[in-house]
This record gives sequence, C-alpha cells and structure tokens, in this order.
Amino acid sequence: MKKIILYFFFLLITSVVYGQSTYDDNKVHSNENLVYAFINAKIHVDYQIVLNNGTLLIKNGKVIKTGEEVVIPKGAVVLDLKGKYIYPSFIDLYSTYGMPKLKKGESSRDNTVFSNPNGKALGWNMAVKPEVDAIDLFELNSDSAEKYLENGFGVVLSGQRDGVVRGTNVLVDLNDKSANKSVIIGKASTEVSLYKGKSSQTYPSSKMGSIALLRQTYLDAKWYNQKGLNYTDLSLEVFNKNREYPKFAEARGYLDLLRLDRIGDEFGDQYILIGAGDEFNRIGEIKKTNASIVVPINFEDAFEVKDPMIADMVDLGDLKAWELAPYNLSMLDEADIEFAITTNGHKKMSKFWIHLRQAVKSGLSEQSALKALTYTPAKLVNANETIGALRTGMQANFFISSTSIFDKENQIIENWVDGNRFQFSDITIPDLRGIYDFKSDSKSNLRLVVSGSIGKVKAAVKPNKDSTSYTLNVTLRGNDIKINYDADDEQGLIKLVGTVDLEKRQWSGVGTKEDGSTFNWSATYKKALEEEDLSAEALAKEKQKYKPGAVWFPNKSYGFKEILKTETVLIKNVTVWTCEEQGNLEKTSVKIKDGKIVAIGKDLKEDKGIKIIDGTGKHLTPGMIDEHSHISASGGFNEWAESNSAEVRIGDVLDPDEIAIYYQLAGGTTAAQILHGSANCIGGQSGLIKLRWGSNAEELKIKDADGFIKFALGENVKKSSGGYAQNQFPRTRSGVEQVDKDAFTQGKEYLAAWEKYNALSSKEKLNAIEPRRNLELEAIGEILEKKRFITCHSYVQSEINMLMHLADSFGFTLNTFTHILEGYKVADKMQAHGAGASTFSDWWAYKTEVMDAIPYNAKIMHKAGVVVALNSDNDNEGSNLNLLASKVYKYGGLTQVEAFNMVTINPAKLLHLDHRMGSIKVGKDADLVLWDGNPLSIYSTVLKTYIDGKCYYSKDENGKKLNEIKKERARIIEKMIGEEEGGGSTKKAPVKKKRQTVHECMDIEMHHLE
Amino acid sequence: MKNLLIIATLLFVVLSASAQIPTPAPAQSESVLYVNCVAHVGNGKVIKNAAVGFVDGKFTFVQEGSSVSKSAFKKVIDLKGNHIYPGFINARTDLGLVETNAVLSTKDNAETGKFRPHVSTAKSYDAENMVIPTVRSNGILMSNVTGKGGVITNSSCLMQHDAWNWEDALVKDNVGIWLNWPQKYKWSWKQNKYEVNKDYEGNVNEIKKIFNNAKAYGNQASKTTNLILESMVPTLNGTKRTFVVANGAKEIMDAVNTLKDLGVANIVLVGANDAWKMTAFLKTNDIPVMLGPLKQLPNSQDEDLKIMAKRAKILQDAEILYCIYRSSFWDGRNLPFSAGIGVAYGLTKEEALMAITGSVAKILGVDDQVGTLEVGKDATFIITSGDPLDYLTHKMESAYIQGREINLDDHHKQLDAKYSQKHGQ
Repeated sequence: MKKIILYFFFLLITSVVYGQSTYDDNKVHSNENLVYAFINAKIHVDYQIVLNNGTLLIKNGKVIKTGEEVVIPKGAVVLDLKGKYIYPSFIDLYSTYGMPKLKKGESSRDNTVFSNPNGKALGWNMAVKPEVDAIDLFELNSDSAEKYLENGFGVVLSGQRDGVVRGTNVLVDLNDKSANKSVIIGKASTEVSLYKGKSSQTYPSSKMGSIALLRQTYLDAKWYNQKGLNYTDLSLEVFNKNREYPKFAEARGYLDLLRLDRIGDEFGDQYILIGAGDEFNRIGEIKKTNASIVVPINFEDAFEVKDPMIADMVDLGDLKAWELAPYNLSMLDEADIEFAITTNGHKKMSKFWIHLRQAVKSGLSEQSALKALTYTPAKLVNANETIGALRTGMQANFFISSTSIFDKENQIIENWVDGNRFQFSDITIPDLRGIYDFKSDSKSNLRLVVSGSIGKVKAAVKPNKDSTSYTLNVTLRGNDIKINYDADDEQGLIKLVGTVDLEKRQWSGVGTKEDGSTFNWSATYKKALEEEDLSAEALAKEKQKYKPGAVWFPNKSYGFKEILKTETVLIKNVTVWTCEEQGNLEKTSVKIKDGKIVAIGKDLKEDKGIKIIDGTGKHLTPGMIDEHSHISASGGFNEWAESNSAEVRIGDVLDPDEIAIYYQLAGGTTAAQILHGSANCIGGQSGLIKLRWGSNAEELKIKDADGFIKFALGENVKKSSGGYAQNQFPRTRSGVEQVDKDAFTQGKEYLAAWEKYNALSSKEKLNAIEPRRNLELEAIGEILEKKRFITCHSYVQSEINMLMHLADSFGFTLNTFTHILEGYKVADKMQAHGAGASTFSDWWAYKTEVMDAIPYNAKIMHKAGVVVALNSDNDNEGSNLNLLASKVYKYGGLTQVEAFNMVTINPAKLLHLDHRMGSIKVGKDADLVLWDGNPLSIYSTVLKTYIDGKCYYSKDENGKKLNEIKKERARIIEKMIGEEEGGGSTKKAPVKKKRQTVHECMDIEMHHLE
Repeated sequence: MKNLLIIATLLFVVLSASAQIPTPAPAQSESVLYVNCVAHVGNGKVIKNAAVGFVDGKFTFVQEGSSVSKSAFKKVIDLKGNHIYPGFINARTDLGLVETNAVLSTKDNAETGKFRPHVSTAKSYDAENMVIPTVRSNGILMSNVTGKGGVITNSSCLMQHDAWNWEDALVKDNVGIWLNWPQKYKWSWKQNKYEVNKDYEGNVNEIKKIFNNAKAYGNQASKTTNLILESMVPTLNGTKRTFVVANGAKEIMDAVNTLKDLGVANIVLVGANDAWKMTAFLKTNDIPVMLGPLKQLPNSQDEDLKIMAKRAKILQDAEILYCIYRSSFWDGRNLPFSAGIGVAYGLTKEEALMAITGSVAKILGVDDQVGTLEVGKDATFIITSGDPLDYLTHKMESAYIQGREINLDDHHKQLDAKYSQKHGQ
C-alpha cells in the first residue's frame, strides 16, 4: 500500500427489474376484501411481544391474526418479509394535521380590545373557545400525511391547538382516501394551555392573565350549570359537556407544566401534560404531578462555539440543557413517569429518527421507546383497544422496516394504515448493506463496506486493519455488477464485472487490470454495519465520553448540586443588628437551630457538633426584605388589558430558576414581595417569597402569609407616556378614583349577594340561583373584609390623599403606599390613616410626577410616625438593599439603626411578617446575613446569607461555584466542538442569554402572549 | 397667635424666596489658605497635615503644611483635620441637557440623525437646570456632557456646575466625539435572546466611510465647507478625542482595530463591560477606558457575580488608565459611591478617587487644567469631614469651583426644609 486514500462509490440499482413505484400504482384498497398475509417477518405485536418469525393476517384494514404458526387462508396475497420487521404504526398525540391555518386577528397595543368582537352567543373572551371541534375542521391532506407515514406514523391526535381553553381534538388515521374513514374518535380529547394564541382581544396580556382566565372559566362553567339563568353562553355549555373527555394541557416548558398541573388539581382535572422535552430539570416535581406527559424530542443542535468569544454568548444553562435533553426520556422512564413521544417541534421529520435513536443511546430502553410511540398514546386517548398494537380485531396500522427501527441504517419500506398501503421502496429489494469480505487473486484481506439506503447504496473498499481504501465505481443491472476502481499507482484503473446473488448477498466476478490481465474476485456478506469496529471497551469509552453532567438546581450557573441542609450554627463575638428595640449588640453570639434563632447572648454554650463561626469584626443582621420587587415572575407581570385585574396572581407564575434570586441572596436579601406591575389601576395579587434558590416555585412561597394586592396611581395607569391602551379609562387622576370606587362598590355588592345567598336554607337554595363566583370581585371583597391588603404604587400627594379618603369611606385601611415619593408632603395624613410607606431612596427626575421626589422622603415620613421601608423595583437595586438604607442615612440624618430597619423589620411589618422575620430575636426564622463590615458602608460585602438556617449564599462557596461553572462550561463546550467536528448538526451561537437587566413596574412584555 | 402668623408668613416668604436655583458665586476676590487638612491630591497621593492655598481661582500652594508662608494669603483657615478632595468629574453624563426624562420638551440630549459629530452639547446645557445643584451638592463639580443615540451622538463639552450660562460653565469645548459602536449581537425582546446583528458589517462600513471622508476632506486644499466632516477632522490629529462606546469583547477589538486603522488618534473606550477580559490588548494599544457604574449585575449568568465591581481593580492591576462615570443625569450624584464600590472589591481609596478625578482629567485631556490638587490648576475642590466615597461618611462641608465657594443648596434640601417645617420636625 503506497498511498492511503479514502474512496467512495455509488451502487445504482436501476429500474429494469426493481422499479420504484408510485403509491397509486400499487395501492390496494380495503374494499377488495382480500386477505393479506405477511410472513417470515419479525413482528412486534405490541411494545412487549415480539414474534421472531411471525405471520400477520389482515383484511379490510383489520388484523385477523398474528402469530408464529398461523394458517394462511386460501386466496390470500402473501408477502414474504424474510429478514424484515413489522411494527404497529406510531401514534402522535400532538398534531395539527388536516387543520386549517389560523390567522392572527387584528390587534394593536395602542388600543385595548375589551370584549369578544364575534357577535355570537359565545364566551366573552376569544381565547376561550371550547366550541371549536377539530372534527368539524378536519380535511384530508396527503402532503402532510406523507411526512408522518414515511416515518412510521399511522394515527395522530389533531386539533386547532389555539387559545387558553380549547375545543376537542380528533383522533384520525393517515389514510389519504377518505376523511370519513380516517376518523377513529371524533372527540377524542379536549385541551387547555397558558397561551392566548391568535385571539385579537387584549385580555389576557400575560401568562398569569391566562391562568386567571382558565380558572374563571371553570368557575363560570360551574355557575352556568344551574337552571333558571336566562343566559346563554355556548362556550360554557360546551365546556361542561367536554369535561368527560381526556384533558390535555399544553406547556411550553417544565415550569408551565407544573403550573398547569396545579390548576388541574384545583378543579379536579388530572391533565395529560404536553411537555417541552425539558422535564429533566425537575423530574422529582414532575413525578409528583401523577400526570402522563406527551414529550417532544426535538433536541437542539450543538452550537458553533469554536471561537471562545462566541462561546461566551452561550449560557451554561443552555449548554447543560443541550447536553441533557437526549436523556430526558430515560430520566422520565427511570422515574416511572408515563409518557408518549410526539414529533412536535421537528421542522424536519427525518430528524425525529436521529433523535429517537439518540434517546435510546442515552439510556432509554427500546421497549420503552416503542411503548411511548404505540401503547401509551393509544391508551391516553382511550383507543388502546383499536390502535397501538397488532392484535386480532385491531386496526391494521403497521409499518415494515428493513431492520430494527433502532438500527441507524433501518429504512421504513412500507406503512399500512387502515387498509391503505404506502410504499416508500420496493419490498422485494434485499438489503445489501453490510460489511463484506472482499477477495481477489491478487488481493485479499479487504472489506467491502456497503451503506446508504436500500434503494441507493454507497460503498467503499477498505483493508481490514488500516484505513486505506480504494476507489470504486459500481453499477448494478439486475444482478449484474460493474465496478471500476483505481487500485494504486502500479495497477492503475481496474475494472470488475460480475453478479450478485441477492439472496445470499454473495458478490463474484472477473476483474481486468489496466495492462489487460484478468483475475477473479468475490465479496461475501459478513456482518451488519452497526457492529463495525466497536469493541465492548470502545463502547464503554464512548458511553463515558457522552455521560452528561448532573442536573443542578436550578440547572444553570450557581445552581446547587445537592439539596441544602438546615445548619446548626453558633456565630460568636459578632456585632448583632437586632433591629429590635435594643438596637445593636456588640460582641454577642447568635445560635441557630432547626431553621430558627434559638439563642442570643454573650456566653452561649458551644453544643457538641455545632458549627462555629468567628464573627470577630463582623456584623450580623436579619435578612433584608424587599417590599417591592418584580423578579422571578414569568410571562409578564403586568396584566394591563383592563383597569382592574385583581384576579391575577403573581404566585401562579413564579420562576424559581431566575438568576436574579441568587443575585439578591448574594446581596443579603432573603425575602421579597413580588408585585404586579403598575400599568393599570388595580393590578394583581402579590407573591410573597423567600429567596430559596434551588427550590421549586411552591417552595419559594411564604406559607400562611397574608394576601396582598397591587394598586397603582398616577402617570402609569393613566397611560401618560403613551404607547399602549390609549383608549382605556382612566386618563386622569380623577378617573383613577372612579375606577377604584367602582371596584370597591362592586366588591361590596358582590359580598352582599353572597351573604344573602349563603343565608338561605338549603331548601331555599334549591330554588335560588347561586351567584357567579367572580375572582376579580372576590379579591376586592377580600380587601373590604380586611383579608387582603393593598400596596399602592403612588407618587404625588393629591392621589395619595384621594385613595386614603376612598379607603376610609369603604371602612378599610391602606396597608402600604409603595414608591410614594411625595409621601413626605402628606406624612401626617398617612400616619393618621395608618398607612405604611415603602419608598425609593433617591430616585427622581425620570418623569413629571417625580420632580418633587427627594432623598429626605423616608426620613420625614419616619419622623412623622409612618412605618417606612425602602424598595428596589429592580434586580440591581434589590441586590444591595443595604445601600438604599445607606442613602437614607446619608441624606436624612437618622441613626444607622433607624435607617437599616427600613430594609429589615419595617418591610417585615408592612408585609405582616414581623412575627417571623425582619429582626434577630429568639424564635424568629433564621434568616440572617453575615457581613465583613458595617452593612451601611459601601465597603462592606456579604459573607453568608441564611434562610431558615440554610446557607444559600456564602462568599467562599461562591468562589468554588464559579470554578465549577468554568469547568462545566469547558467540558460541554469541548463536547459541542466534538459534535461539530464529527459532522453533527450545529447551529450558530448565540442563543439565550436570558437575564433581563431590569424588572421595573412599567415593563410590559408582549412576547409571551402567544 | 398673631405672632405665630407673622412668623409663618415670614418663613413662607423666606422659603419661597429660596425655592430656586442658587445664585452662582462671584469670582474669587481674596487669596485663601487652608491649613491643618488632609489633601487627597487625586493622583494617588495623600498629604497629611497639608496646606492648600489658592489665588484668583488657581491653586498656588499644595504641600505639607509646615513649609507654608501664611502671610502670603489674605485668609487662613484651620480645617481641623478635615479633608480636601478635587471636585469630582463625571466623565459621561447628560446632566444639564434634561430636566424631566419623560417630558420631551425638557430634553436636549438626543439629536436626530445617525451622524452628528458637529452638534456640540454646550449650547444645550442649561446652567439653570434644577437637577444640577442636586448633583454638585454631592461633590460632582464638573461633567463631560454628552447625549444619547445615533452612531455618532455629538461632541461633548466639559462643563463646570456653577454658572450663569453655558458660556461661563464651559471648561473645554468639544472634548471629543461620541461613537456608538454597533453591536454584534442584539437583544431581541421578541425572541427573548440575543441574536446576531445582520447589519453589523454594514454598520461598521458606514463608520469607516465617514472617517475616511473626514480624512479626505481634511486633506483637501480648497473645500466647500461640510460641517459634519469639518467637526471630525480633529479626531484624526488627536486634538479631539473619539469616545467609542463598546461593551462586548468582539466589539471592543473591532472598534479599536478599526479606528486605529482609520488613523483616529485619541481613542477612549467607553462602557467596556468586557474590557477586563482583554487587558493585554488594551495595554498594547494604549487605550484608556471609561467604566460605567460598578454596581451592576453581570451581563452573563455565568460570570462572577461581582465582576462589574471587580473590573476596576483588574484594569488597575493591568496599569490601564481608566475612570468611572454614571451616565444618567440625576443619578450622577452617586458617582463617588460608584467609585467606593471599587474599594469594596480591591481598589485602594486613593485609586478609587483617581477614577473620578485625576484620571478623568487625563482621559479627557484637561489634566493641565483640572482634576487634581496641584499648583497651577483650577481651585475646584470640596471640603469634607469624612471619606466622601462612602455613604456612611460622605459629608460635604463646602465646595469650590475655580476658587469660588459655591452654594450647596438645592431643590431637595429646600423641599426637605419646607416640609420638615410643616410637620414640625
């Protein structure tokens, strides 16, 4: 061997004998009443039972029998499938096959569309459309059917998949002849989602709005179920009827998946959740939903990250997600979560198979994969008696493949659906692909490697040991073969002629060298392609190489590898900022245990095993509390479509994985009120959270905290800056008063109506109409009943004064004025009313209503006897709340303790959490911050942050985390580069650097709405 | 009761009378010497027990106090250990150009068009803007005033903050032009991710074109006046700086390499989030850097949480000339604390001070005139009882601009007094 050259050649099989036929020519219709017998096949009867040499009998689209010893009836059309495989055709539960394309309705930000413009006796909101039945819309579409068919699918669950409350989906097979025969179950399922879709109505404008709408729809439907209403709502009528069907819920991510499940639980519906393939992030929580999941496998391509500067544009979270996605199914399977696989998300269906095999390579058993494509989807739509297996009486939906479907060389040859035969290549062509021993008179020890597809193979000749190979040009006519190849320099061009024994896969013939001399040659089939070269050792190595990193909580930078433990700690000899009346205690010790502060004193006992922290020269403070934050809320925190959106709840959309949580922790903030924005007069209900990084959304919430709600006044709600909702009432401060007054008036009437109804005897109730539960007015009613508390975005004194008068007239007290930059002008009135204040420390001049904002505001209000807190409004300010207190100290001349209380005990008071948090006192939660200096000094930094006695942030640990982040990044980036160099599919970075820099009141997000 | 009424009326009159922009101070009329003070020179040096003297608006003596001849000064004042610092200079702000950010008619910070190097900010600078006194009362006595938007935003001017009008306020006209380098990746709110900016190359070419045109224009013997090109010519001979705003590593490299190739002489990198990653490159090319606020969250989730604060120390260690600015007009009053953050993350206090005094002057090319407590320079300084970089100790005793003691009253103090009074506090 002089030269090492790599050669390829094509083996063309002409149409002389093996003609590729079009569908129509060979189509056999079920009404022919013929029995078809498929013999000698490896038949997967269902995902469990395999017949190694089986026979399948079908007639008129139904399975007559499957078995190993089946008598073939006379007159049957026999198809010998020796060496081939039969599988039940796959079922895809997420499809829009045969549905008309939807157009988005006209809408603009400028003007709010308040009600459903369709003029029919349907529901009020266009995103609630249970009346849409997919079966009414369904039309055959052979083009899109073919994409499914050639990939082995026989049945899909199709629907419009638009709106928050959707109608029914239809279960159809993919025959291309008759829509009438396609339909397996006309109304197979119904569906909900958190996405408004194509509705041109403005509400809901946020994810929490969608959730509120879904919730209200359930309640309305229940209310509608009574007699004597004299009100027709066809949407609600259908919604009630549809409750008998299996209910799907579409989630575009694991957090939405968990959110939807919670709503289902609220109303007694166990949804089948349509996931996004990222369930690996929170397998534990997903298991607890008890839901079955429809999972896509459209794994992301590797990013092109060879350039380190470009690699910097990809976040570790995205790198980890890329790496773990193929393991998603095996992780679900391992956790014993029932799942079905969908092709949804694949722009190119051919990728579906690549990804499915990748999932199997990543630990999913073949049987589980098969189950998730046949049995489980059939079962989830109550069709497993009809489809998903090949038992007697079931629909004869199956496909024939050249080998095991998990073999990457496999080819689907035919797909039979409902008696219709779809051929993709000729069933009689043998599969010549494989590795052959190649011998000639002059050469031996060579291999012929034949690959490609059955109809069109590629091949190369290689020596057995090294990588040298020869160029070959091959043509095959019938079983005659002609091969030309350039053997090496000495021999020049060599021509081979011969024949192939297709049955035995034996090639032989005569070769001619360039000098005219001849020789004999042969090639004998040896083994399948897959087995090539991979020793057990190499396989193990390969596996190790592809082993993914662990899931972090959250699965991104600074996530935890393990669940945090509650610590027992004694912090000694430290300056304690108690934020209680006694003020600061020098050289004191604080002991925490079981998540609580258990002792404070000079000489505390060092219990055995207790962790000791030397606090000499350091300061210990309560965790800081942010009265006004917008971090960690996903899908928009402004439901701005209406002036009153009291029904929406931030608690529904908490995002526990947002990095801002960790940023706040690193600055010593341990709790926050996550508020609705200030785009409308009556916003939504707050989420009170502790910043428990790494936990799930529910665990973030402070249990038993009082309910709060955001109100807003001034320029934002009257839309002074323009740009959206310009037709919305109000446009003046007096109009704002009317909106609020109207809400309280209605709320009062609402309470009265219920009170009246509840006072009826059970007998009287039978003849009475139960009032409609209205979540918006229920929240307002809670305010009037002093069960929910207002925190009101406000700036100028006129409006502050107005709202206090209004509250007085309805007999309740405003809990907090937030921002309240002119509070200093009416501090006496606020004090008299009993309202607290949460203000910025020094913001001003950004709009007209803050031109009198002064950094002395907090001081004046405090001195007037108002409880004053300082708030962030964005994640940057919230990462150093102490510096807000520093500013108040600098400008106001309060004592340091008075200033610092404004970020600890005072916000705790405003949030009604001061019995548990906000100060260092025995019995309170161990939410503590250890500082390397006075917390009011700009030179001080946070050393440790504890919540409930768990150390969520430590400066030292953080350094280690940063190293781990770098290592993990480097590891995955190397893998990605390997993927790119190995010819895997890649796409351009950058991807998703998702940290939003600000979360201020007026941020309105439009992009989450669809 | 009657007396009370009179007092109240009088108070009202007094308060209303003071509810305005303080009157600018008259020129220094007599020589002054401060003794027994700590002089923080602004170049890294501290003189304990210093004497600081100034005459006709210029420093004439800054040294250890024992050698001073007190008789040479008309007024000698014992500062009893208080501190003297150079007046802080905000290297990038739109102070004086905006009064209320949401009200268009009060804004003169954003001209229209892509290329506006000919637009010089001084003429928009409102010496009676109500925000200015609130900023200077924290010790920020000068600002390099620029604006927003465009590819070339404008030419900035260095203004001092005690003046009757822009003309008096002007310290240096046309310090430099402001070039917003295009972003290679743009945040897409729709997609919620960064996307490649497809126009990047085109945008860079536009920049190349205008500099090349300016060069050609400058070389013409006889020409028809083109105000835009005319205003760019001095960037090529270095008499005018080119402040280029670039944050990503890629953009920083492209910006510096491209501008150097174009023959731009005095390049200053602004924003420079990623500058800390490429100190060798900046050092080799001798590029000074203006850093935005140090208290910011990182741009990437994978970064060190405190990288924005630590980057000053990284540049310091790499011996790169840098300064710190705060670009929002009203928020400029937090400039000293932005420098203070640098101390929490590695700088010495004097290094942090340089980043808002001496180094700013160097970067702006006015270090012969302002920025430090050195003989011959403008007597623009503050006297404090403590460390002004920390909120805990920031306490202004007095401030001087060009030797004139300025009034530290402002809108906020006035309202504080008015309403403290109202509430009997």
